[in-house]
Amino acid sequence: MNVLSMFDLKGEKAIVTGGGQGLGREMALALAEAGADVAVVQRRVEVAEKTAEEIRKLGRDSFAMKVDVSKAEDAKNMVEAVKDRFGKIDILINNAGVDHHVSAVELTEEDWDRMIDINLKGEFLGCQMVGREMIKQRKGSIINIASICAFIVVRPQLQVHYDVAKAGVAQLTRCLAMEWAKYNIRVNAIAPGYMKTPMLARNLGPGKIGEQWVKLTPMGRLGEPYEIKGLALFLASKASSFITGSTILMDGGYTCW
Amino acid sequence: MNVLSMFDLKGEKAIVTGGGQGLGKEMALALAEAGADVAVVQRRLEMGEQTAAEIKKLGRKGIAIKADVSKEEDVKKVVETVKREFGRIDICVNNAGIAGWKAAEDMTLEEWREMIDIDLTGVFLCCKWVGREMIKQKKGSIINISSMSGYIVNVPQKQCHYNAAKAGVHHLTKSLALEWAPYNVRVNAICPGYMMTPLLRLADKKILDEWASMTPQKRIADPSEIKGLCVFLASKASTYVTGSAIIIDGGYTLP
Repeated sequence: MNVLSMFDLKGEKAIVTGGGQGLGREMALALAEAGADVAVVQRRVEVAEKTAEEIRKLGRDSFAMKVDVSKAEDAKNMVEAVKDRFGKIDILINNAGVDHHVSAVELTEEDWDRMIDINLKGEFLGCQMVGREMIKQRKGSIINIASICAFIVVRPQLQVHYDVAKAGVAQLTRCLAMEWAKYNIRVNAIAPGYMKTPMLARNLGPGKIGEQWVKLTPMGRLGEPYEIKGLALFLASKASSFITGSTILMDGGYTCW
Repeated sequence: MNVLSMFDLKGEKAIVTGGGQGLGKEMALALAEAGADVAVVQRRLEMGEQTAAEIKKLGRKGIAIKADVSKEEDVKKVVETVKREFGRIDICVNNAGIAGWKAAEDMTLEEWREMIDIDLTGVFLCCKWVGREMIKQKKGSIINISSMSGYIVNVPQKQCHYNAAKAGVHHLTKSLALEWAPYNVRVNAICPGYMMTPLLRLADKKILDEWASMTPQKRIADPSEIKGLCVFLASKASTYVTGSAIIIDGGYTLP
């Protein structure tokens, strides 16, 4: 089979959580450019609506939906709405997430719960609700967004809850890949390093900690959000048919040393 | 930038060692299908020439070069030939390798050395001499073919030399990724599980079935399934990926 045709997503139906901005938006656009119809899910629906509009301009079907990934009811409703509109779900990108810097001794129970609920439970609920449909279909590709924080401890900021959640996402990915391999469902993760997204924007600029992140990255720069597009498409498509349970680092060499 | 254009290799010049058969052949064809001209390096020239002919049928430039990657003089000649024929080197897939089964307590030093020479030193030599060109160009993507054997120990066969060499390739990859990041030269590794290639001919049907049963996807892959990953790592689609070792194993290493 010609390699370029392996990346074709014509006829495929996708969901991208947190698809309204940052990495989520880039990945939603990537899937659409390759031929998929995409449901863009976000807590702030007006943000998601902008991405859905860009996707429709590409000639694909797209709609925005208000979803809080940390709530099982919302995740269930998300699946129902996508099945109604698209008929099936071939691809899920669990990208929605938050960040927060606080030391371990000052971290409140509320801080901890919020981080684990959104960044770990949220990815699990997405996997579970969509996974049930993919099992019926005997087909699917799930991409979880982990982080370099799943493997190393970032600095100088303190964020034990974030790092633990992302480590959890990496292992969640492996467990589900194992459980669902027999249903022809692949589950993989992307582990980005520092990318110039709205989530990190407040840390970038002269005198901010982003300058240290740049010095710690062998490539000498942070990633541009569009640089995630190729990897998202690769994992979503037939081009990665023998890959499951893998967490792929995309970090400019950050974790090498 | 449209995502599909990121995978375009038009105008790029590539080397694939061990490109005459198996995974190497699939990857050489993949790079050509995406637009690159490809130099196919193989110890047995006639095999390299078959792949080069298929590349030419795709409308790309394909050349075959006879070389033993464990010999530094051969590797230097490969680089000189490719520079002369193609003008430069954008992509290098270090795939040439051998396999072998022997219990550790019975393994001869000769058997150990041969494995390390080809599967590890050969990768280093190609990285070094191609890397020198890529550093001058301030551009390049190197893909080293490691193996899941760099992470886990295969069964039932015994192959400590192969496993050690592949673990070495993994860490060599990260080392070079770090050293050459400032030169815009990316270095990554592919770690395959069981894919149906000539290297697997050591196994009889009983062992092949055993390997498949230990793989969550319950199968041995078709070698063509490596094509997409090769083009991803070779192309602009992976510009922020360096020092990564990507496992492609149907889930074998999970449990």
